[in-house]
Amino acid sequence: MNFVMRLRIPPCNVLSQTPIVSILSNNNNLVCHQCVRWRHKPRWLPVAKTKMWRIPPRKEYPEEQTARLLTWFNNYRTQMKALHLYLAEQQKAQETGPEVIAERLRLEELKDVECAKLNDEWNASVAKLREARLIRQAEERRLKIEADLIESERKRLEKIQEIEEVVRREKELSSTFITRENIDVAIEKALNETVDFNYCIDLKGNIYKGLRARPEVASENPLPEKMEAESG
Amino acid sequence: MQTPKNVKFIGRTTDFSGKTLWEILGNLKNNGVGRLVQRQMFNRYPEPSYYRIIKVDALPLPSAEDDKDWKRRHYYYYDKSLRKCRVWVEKVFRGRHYPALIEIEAVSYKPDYRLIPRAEEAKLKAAVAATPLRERTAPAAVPFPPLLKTIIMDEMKQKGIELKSEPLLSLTEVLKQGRENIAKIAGEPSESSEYSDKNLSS
Repeated sequence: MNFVMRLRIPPCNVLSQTPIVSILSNNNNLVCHQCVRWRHKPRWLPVAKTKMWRIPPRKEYPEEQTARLLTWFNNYRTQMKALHLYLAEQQKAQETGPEVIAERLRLEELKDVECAKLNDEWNASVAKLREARLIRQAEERRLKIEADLIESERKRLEKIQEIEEVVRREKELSSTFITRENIDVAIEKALNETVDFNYCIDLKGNIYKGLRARPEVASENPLPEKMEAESG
Repeated sequence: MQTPKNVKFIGRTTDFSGKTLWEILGNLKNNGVGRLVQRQMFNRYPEPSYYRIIKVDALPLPSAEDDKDWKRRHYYYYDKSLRKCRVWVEKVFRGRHYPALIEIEAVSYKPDYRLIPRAEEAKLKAAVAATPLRERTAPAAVPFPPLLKTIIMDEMKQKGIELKSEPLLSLTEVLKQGRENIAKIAGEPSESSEYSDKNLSS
């Protein structure tokens, strides 16, 4: 079983598909080393001319040797089968034996305990976090409620003030209200007061309200109020 | 197959000699049920072997689809005489009658069968009857391979189990397997190292 042959060959081999690796050997001669383990004729090359009509002769082995090899090989196969069977049984016993199952159960229980412990730890740490969060949230809520209370109180007072303002203004106005008592006076006053909505306008756009524009009654009226022109 | 005289075959020689099973049975009355057939390859053994035909089924030819794929091509594609059939036989191999019927299909195309003439049948059966049964004795157990033995003994020592003798690899289960296995198990486990040369030969 000589897998690697040392060949003194030129570094270019047309037939071979395998790469040729050149290395320096120990005696400093440049020698090509080529792995020829899987080297054979490619399928697309024809049969060599020298081998074209060659019929390889049948190999003949001594009968004794054949019988002995056959015996050995049969024994070998039997024993290998037995060995495989033994190993398979061992494997099976490792997986399904009573001690193995008990051990596995024990390990599983241990693992359960471990898991429970870990779970408790996690629960504790989470509980700590949750407690802190709840305290913080309660504080925030308390502050918000306080602020809301203050705000709502302020709004209530503002509203009251507005209302009081309105009431005060109304009270002030109430002195001018026309009531059952002074209605005659008011009627009299309204009838006596003449209102003239006429007005004049000069070239500059000044408005002269009043009756100045009407000469026949102007003398009885005060000077008309001069209003600024609307347009500049 | 008749070989023309002007044809010379070039190539490796073959061990087969004869016809395919269908070539023989397809030409016989009632498909040769009841007749005896021999595999030429089995004649290399000193004890006689034969098949007695019980039932014959013809099989369809391989389909054209199969022929398109060179990997699935049947031998029939290359040689029209190599046709398969399915045959149930009583098998007698090396003078031993098999208890159950044997179905031959996969090897039925091999051109290695020979029809026994009726005149020779009685002689062949007499030869089989006169053949003593082959006997082989195998040990019930053999020593383990050295490394595995060391490992087992170490494991036993670790577990605190004292071994009175060295551990042995039991062969009994394996020797019960197999249709062709004729070896009988020896009463006592063999102690000698020469068991492999003497006992388990085919």
